[in-house]
This record gives sequence, C-alpha cells and structure tokens, in this order.
Amino acid sequence: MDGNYAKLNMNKVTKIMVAVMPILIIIGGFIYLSLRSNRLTKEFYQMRISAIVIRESDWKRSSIDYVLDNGMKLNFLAPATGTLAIGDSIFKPANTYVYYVYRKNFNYQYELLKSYDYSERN
Amino acid sequence: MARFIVPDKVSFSLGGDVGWWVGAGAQPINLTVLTRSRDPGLYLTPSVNINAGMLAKGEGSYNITRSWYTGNPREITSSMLQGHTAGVNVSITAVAGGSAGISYSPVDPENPVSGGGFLNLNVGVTGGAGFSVSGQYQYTPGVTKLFGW
Repeated sequence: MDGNYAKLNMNKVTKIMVAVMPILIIIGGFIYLSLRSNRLTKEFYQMRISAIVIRESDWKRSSIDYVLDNGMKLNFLAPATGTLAIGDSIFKPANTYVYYVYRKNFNYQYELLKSYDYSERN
Repeated sequence: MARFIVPDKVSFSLGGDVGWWVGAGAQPINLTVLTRSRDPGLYLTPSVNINAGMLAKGEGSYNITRSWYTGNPREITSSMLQGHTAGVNVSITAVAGGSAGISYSPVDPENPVSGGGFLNLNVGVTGGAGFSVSGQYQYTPGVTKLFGW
C-alpha cells in the first residue's frame, strides 16, 4: 500500500518536473540572454571601435545582424535596406553609443555615410 | 487603455499538435492583423512549433492571439511578424475544451528585453484529449501581405 502510494507520488512529481523544466529553461534563457546583452551593451559603450563589416546574418528573420571583424554584431530591423553593407567601415569613439559608418566611394576612398545610435532600435 | 482594447497585433490560427513529452505542431493557416504599424494590414504568417512538457497525445485547435509591442507601436514593421517565439502554454481539454498561453516574440532573440518584442496572450478552443502544460517554441519562416490599409 505504502509502496503504491510512493509510486503514485513519484509519478506525480515526475509529471510536474516534466511540465515545469521546459518552462524554467525558457525563463532562464531569457534572463541569461538579457544579462549577456546588457554586458555587451556596456562593453560597446566603453570601447573604441574601428572595424569592417564582414558578414550579415538573417537567421533571426525579424532582424539582421551585421558581424564586424572584431566579432561584434550590429542589429537592424529586417529588411535593413539602406543601412549597412559588407565592406563598410565602422568607427566609434570610446564612451558613446553613437557610431559612424563609412563606405567606399567610386574612387575607393572611404567617406562618411551616416551615424547610428547603438542604444536605439534602428 | 485603447491599446489594451485593440492590441497592436491579432492573430487567428488553425492547426494541430501531436506529442507526449516532446511534441510538434503546425499552424498552416495563421492570419495576422497589424493594427498599429508602419504597414498595417492583413498578413499570412504560417508557423511551426515544438512543445516540451506534459502534453496531451493530440490536439487540434483554433487560437486567437492578442499581442502588444513592448516599444513604440509606430516602430512595428511587418518583418517583425516572422522569426522566433517562446512561451508557456496550458490546455485543459477534459474540463473546458480550451487552452491559454503566454509567449514572447523578441525582435532580436540575442537581446530579448531591451531589443523589444511582442507580448502575446492566446486563448483557443482545443479538440483532442487531456491536460497539458508545456514550454513552446514557435518559428514563423516568412510573412505574406494579403492586403493593407
């Protein structure tokens, strides 16, 4: 009788664990990604950056990442037309969210295209 | 108050799920209305989903999802309708024949909170059997505009 009761309870506990674990993983994932994002934003603000856009990635579908040769990513709303392009040069002084985009002109000289604020959704 | 009554996005879906501990489903007919946006209109947004948790063996469902953008609704674009969504879903078929869930669709999954996203509340009528509590991941690969205004 006691054995059956324990077995019944064990089944109940297992079911609750199975139900709760995926939910905890999702909530934990959101918390981890948010903390990581806050850290990266802080690092971005502090760093002086001089880098080239080497790749774009659209796996997120709703937004597009432009990957810099220093490993950093700049995120824009899809389809991000008229924003960055592979080969663009990015410059950002230290202690600001504002960065400048330079693009090669017909004479293969970089010229200022526009500026963006990393802390705002573009 | 007006935003609560008329959400930024409303979706109507028809689909089904199968599974036990881990399940999969599809909503081939998923229509989404963007009410406040740079491009308001009616969109076709078919999606697939994976569930994990305590699942009923099989469910078919009609769902209405009301969504609110966490940022400025004027920033909403139709491209935000595609991509990744994660959330929690509960369905009580035996008692009420219904399901309810809450989920979040980040614009940038690597920056889910400050990057903005849609908070989604869904209610549905579920056919099938059982009680389920699950974590859900949903992917919408693309969006087709049916008409705009």
